[in-house]
Amino acid sequence: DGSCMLSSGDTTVVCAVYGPGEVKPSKELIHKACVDVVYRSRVGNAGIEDRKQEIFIEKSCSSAILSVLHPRTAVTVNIQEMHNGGGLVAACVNATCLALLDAGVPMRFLIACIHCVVLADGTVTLDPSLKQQAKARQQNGSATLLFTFESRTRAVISSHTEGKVTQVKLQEAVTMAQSAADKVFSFYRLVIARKFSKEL
Amino acid sequence: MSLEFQALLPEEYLIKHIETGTRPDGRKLTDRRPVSIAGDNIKSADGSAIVKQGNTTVICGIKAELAKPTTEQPDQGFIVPNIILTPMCHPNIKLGPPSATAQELSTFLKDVVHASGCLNLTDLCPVPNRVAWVLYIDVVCLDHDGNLRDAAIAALIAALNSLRLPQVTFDEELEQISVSKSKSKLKILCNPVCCSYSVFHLESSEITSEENTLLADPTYAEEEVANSEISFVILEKGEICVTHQTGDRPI
Repeated sequence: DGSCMLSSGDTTVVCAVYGPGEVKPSKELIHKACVDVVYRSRVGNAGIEDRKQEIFIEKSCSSAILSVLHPRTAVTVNIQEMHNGGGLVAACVNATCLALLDAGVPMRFLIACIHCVVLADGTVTLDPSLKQQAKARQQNGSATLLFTFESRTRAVISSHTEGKVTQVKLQEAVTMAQSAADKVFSFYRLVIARKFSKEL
Repeated sequence: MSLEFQALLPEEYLIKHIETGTRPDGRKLTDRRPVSIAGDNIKSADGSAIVKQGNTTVICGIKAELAKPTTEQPDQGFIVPNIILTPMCHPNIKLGPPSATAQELSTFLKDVVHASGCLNLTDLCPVPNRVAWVLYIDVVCLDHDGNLRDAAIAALIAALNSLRLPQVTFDEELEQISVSKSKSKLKILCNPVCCSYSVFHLESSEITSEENTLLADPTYAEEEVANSEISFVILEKGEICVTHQTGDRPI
């Protein structure tokens, strides 16, 4: 029902959304729609790491979608990684948001995910490339952070951190990522405006 | 009367409790359940621990095996954590392959071990390029009454602390691996602790001025009705090494 291909630098993902539609009786929720995310990476069979991405994306989206409007249905999100140039999960979440907009699924707010890396010397880098991400993972004392913001109040919907970081640094990273989220939201506006101007 | 109310309207039941500043089991909003940890219980395992946090019971066993290290990382051993949610731990858990929640918890354990740096993977490789230890860490949930993350991390760290590995030498000429009888403890660099909270969104609250109320160490009933959850894994010096927040409501 809706799809999107998003590239953020080198990172490219394709996302397709179907729904709200038929749901398997085992996954059926009586009072709201269930969000089913299937994520496939470029190479290899579906593994445990993919499950983690799926759950992160699902939790971010289910807060955005007005699921109470469509009980006993499912919104299916299929994401395929085309190329990973860094910041993959963030690109997936952003692509999902655009695909949901394209499908016309009723949403409470828009979501934007920002990836950032805090290095051992204290520098905070937003939207890291693959090399910067790898460096952060290997270096002792650095961390990778992922935040999902919502469009109304710029509050944090979901987050995931790996690596040592002090409370002060975490706050600093959140503030920096918040200002980056503004850019992503204005990008969404641009894309949707362009799409509708063509249709008219 | 209150049991019927809890069965019919679980969310209302909990919110009515929270508004008075206590929870159904009598704890205050920020009180955690008493924790008891016992290490080195399973003699057939190389390392083990059992953790009881209120009613939540989790047991962790570590089995060490030898393997050849990868060519990309020839001086590092392997850690394979796995959480098993048995059907006996809760009526909602069914028999079958690991569910998405179980798989996600397993990756959470792996992330904590790697991010906290509690274990040096090079310590797990006695002979680089030839022989490395693989630690199969099995965390089995015996009773699920909420807050599996905290209990699982505690069990994992306690089991790692009780782990004893023998010395391994490799004879280049004979191409033979020899394992000593004596065992020594593995060096654990730090002990991460996980703190999880359930977040409730209250429309109007007399107790708290903010909209969101945090409940420390939630039980299964509280977790089910919660709007979202947030977990922090903290090291001794106060550094946060893993955070995990899943939303329904923004914080």
